[in-house]
Amino acid sequence: MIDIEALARVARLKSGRFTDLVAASGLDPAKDFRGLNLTAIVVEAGEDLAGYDFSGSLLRGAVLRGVDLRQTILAGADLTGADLRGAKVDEADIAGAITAGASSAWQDGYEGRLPELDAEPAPEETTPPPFESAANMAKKALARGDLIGAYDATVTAIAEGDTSGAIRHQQILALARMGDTERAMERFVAYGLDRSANVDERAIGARIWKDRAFNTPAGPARQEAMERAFEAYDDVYKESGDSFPGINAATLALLAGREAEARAIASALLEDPAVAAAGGYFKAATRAEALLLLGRTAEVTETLGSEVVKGSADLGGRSSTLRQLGMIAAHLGLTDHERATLLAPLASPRVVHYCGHMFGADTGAEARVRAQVDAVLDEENIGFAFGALACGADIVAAEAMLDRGVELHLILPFEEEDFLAQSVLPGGPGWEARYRSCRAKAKRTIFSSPMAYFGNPDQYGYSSRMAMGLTCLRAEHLAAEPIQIAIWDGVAPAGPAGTGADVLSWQQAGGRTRSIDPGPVRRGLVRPPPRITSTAERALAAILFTDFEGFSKLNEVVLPLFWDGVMKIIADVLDAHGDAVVSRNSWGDALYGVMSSAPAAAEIALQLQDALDRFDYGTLGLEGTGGRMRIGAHYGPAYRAIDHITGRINFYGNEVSMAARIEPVTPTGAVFVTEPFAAILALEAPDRFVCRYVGRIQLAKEYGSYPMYRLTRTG
Amino acid sequence: MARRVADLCSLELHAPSQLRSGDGFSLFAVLAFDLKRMENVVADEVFSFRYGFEAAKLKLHLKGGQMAPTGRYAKIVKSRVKRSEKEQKANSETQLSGGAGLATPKFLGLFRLEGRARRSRQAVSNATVVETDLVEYETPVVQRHGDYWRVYGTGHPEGVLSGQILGDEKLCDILHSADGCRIRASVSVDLTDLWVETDTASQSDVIAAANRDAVCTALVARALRPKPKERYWEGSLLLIKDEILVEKAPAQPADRRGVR
Repeated sequence: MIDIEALARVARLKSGRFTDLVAASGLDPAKDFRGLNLTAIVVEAGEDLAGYDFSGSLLRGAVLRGVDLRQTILAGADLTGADLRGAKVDEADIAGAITAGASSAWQDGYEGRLPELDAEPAPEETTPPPFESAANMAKKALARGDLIGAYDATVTAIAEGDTSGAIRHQQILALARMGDTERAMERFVAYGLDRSANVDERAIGARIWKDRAFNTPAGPARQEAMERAFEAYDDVYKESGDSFPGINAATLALLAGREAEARAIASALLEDPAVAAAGGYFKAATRAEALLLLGRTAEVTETLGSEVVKGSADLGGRSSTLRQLGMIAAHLGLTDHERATLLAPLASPRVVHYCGHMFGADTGAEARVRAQVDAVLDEENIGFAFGALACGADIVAAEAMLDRGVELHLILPFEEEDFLAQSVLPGGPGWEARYRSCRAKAKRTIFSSPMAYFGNPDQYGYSSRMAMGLTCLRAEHLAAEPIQIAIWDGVAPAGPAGTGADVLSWQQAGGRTRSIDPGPVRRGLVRPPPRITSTAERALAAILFTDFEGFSKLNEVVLPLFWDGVMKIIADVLDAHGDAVVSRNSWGDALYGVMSSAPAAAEIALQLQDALDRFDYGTLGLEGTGGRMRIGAHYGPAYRAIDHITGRINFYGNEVSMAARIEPVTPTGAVFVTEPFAAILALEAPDRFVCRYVGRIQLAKEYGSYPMYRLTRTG
Repeated sequence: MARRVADLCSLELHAPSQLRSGDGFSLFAVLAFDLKRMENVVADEVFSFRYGFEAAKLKLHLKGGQMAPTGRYAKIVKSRVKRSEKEQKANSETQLSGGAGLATPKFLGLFRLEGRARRSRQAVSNATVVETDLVEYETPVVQRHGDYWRVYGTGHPEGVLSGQILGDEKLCDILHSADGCRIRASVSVDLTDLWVETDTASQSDVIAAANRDAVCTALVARALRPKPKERYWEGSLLLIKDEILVEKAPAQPADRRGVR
């Protein structure tokens, strides 16, 4: 029977808001809106459509701007011509949805979903489905933490003539998430999004101002940035009524010293039915933040303890919330202990570097090790793991973690054929199958060197250090604790490689190790001799290449000034680092330098930029000052030998060739480094340097595309 | 369920004896729709609403016969509309064309473009720019797809199925494959084509009206759904069925009309 009274209530309701009408109707959003004609409905930003099932419905021409659709089912819906600008759809069920002609400028979901540093580039789709606008592809890449895919998609789309604000919005968002605040701000202004009529496109400016404020040391500049960020968010909040800019405006008001405004906005947000209901993770996080701003910590604890927060798998969102709430708590004067207790439900799972001894088939020993690994995993809440996959401890640990759904990342030292021969097959029958099973289930496999094994234990040592560095990088991005699980007999290391050496390296870097004694296991496995032997010396090298923009166009008359000016500055910087520079050479404007460690190379690169920033380029007939040097850096094993031509030590090999391909694609004034370089820095000097992910960049001379990071100092 | 909504639709199959031969016969389907109007007193005030469907599907199930490839396959309304005015009006340039059974004058003069169904279909119809400021639209009235026909409410001010849609012309020719041919016809609708109009004279907000229509549609649809837990967009709602048995006619003299 048709519910005539409900029809009458709906027909006569004064409010035209969609959700008000649904509430008046008594309909069940989870099942009564499937397969209907809902053409041209208008849902206002801030209305909560969580739990609605629109599967198969016609939503043609619907206005859904700024609406949170992440928990809305749109499978098979027809969204032709719908206005989805600013709508949050990254978790929505959109399988089979049609959105030809839909307008979509996806809004930043919540502050800083963090990048998957090791994300593989998204496979190219030759025929994108109808829903895959370039902006949406970028949005989806961002949602899964693939900044590479997101940034590249926007660059390609703009190069191919996409003039939309949506694609530019995504590009700026990608830059902001890379931490490249200044470039994001520069693009934001250049693209004119600060004048956009679209509230979401303007909103990204607020995010950049906020980043700038947090990157600026305390003082008037920070205060000004904080004020600008608050005003930008407040502007968007007042126009859209959306709780996302609202809560940011409230927090920034507090940090800018406008406490009364902060409290007023927080109170208003708690009146928002969607925030009060805290039906999804972000609404719950908003509610917790608003409560904290009002000092209602007991209710914060209650909100953070809710299932919707504890059950959220969005680790990027959780770590962002953790940072934001931690900042407010500190501002309000909560002690470290109080903060830790209050925010414990938001803690990300830990990131682990695992290592251990190789051993052969030994059912009893293996069961014993597995039980201990399981016990440690029970205690430590591990979410991500980095390590190798040798027979024995590695494989046992990897299997234990895979069984618990831990995301496994494999770092192997050299060619797989040699790794199998040296580190898997010596364990006896059965290990190779287990290796291949783990390998197939791993999220990613990285070969730290493209070389064969030639009998040098440094090859293992370098691979382990890279695994440890990647562990630290991931932990840093998730605001999680990195730990090490070592299945180790406790014997001190006798060389650069092995479990003892890994434990020593980790602990020297200040890391915590959970050590598991394997007890008596069958060690002393027989390995074959290396396939390739070489007497050539190899060493780990931190390699710099620099280039001066516009050198080839300099007038012949000013070249001596360049020689005595720019090149002298470079030489002075290198000289100041003494023995840390193990090889150097120049050709024209180019410098090729090899340093003994990644931190030394990072310090030199940044000092070069600082020194050259102060040079007066007017003396060379060039306009302006600063930012004319491009510097690329890489870390890896290379051959070391006396140069037959110069008679001095030189380095050569594939890693040197790769390093030479970086500087041509580096923006002037910047230092770009490779992932191995960034990983080693994260392990060895996390307090001194920051490597901000830039994207997967095509290197010069078609060398291939690789993840690149922009090097800066901390603080 | 068919009974509950049967008064939205009537269907009658017949095969005129004068159009039968030893080989086959011509089938006619008289298909008409109505809008269901309901009036009740709610809170001491009279509240009225109407509902109907903007499109429907007529499907034939044959036993002992086979549809000939000849016969009506489509009826199309073509219109050329100034782009700037396409949402406001159709005009004297409206044309009718298609196969047999066209030229029903009622479509002229009644043709307006405000109907939701029409807007929806036009969103996906082929629109060709024929002059700088003219766009040509093709709006179907009846379309044949194999063993079924889609019929649309083209001609109604709101694009809702109303009045007789089929019946003036033969639907199709059917060739006997046995002594008798049993024909079952069913008319079904999708809930995506449900149209509801409520007594909202006091409401003038266009946005609110679209939302109100949608929610009212959901309320009516809830009552019409055959199985509450089904994902209805994959299914359809049966409105009515009819069935006839056509015996094979004795052989006719060569000069009699028949189906070839």
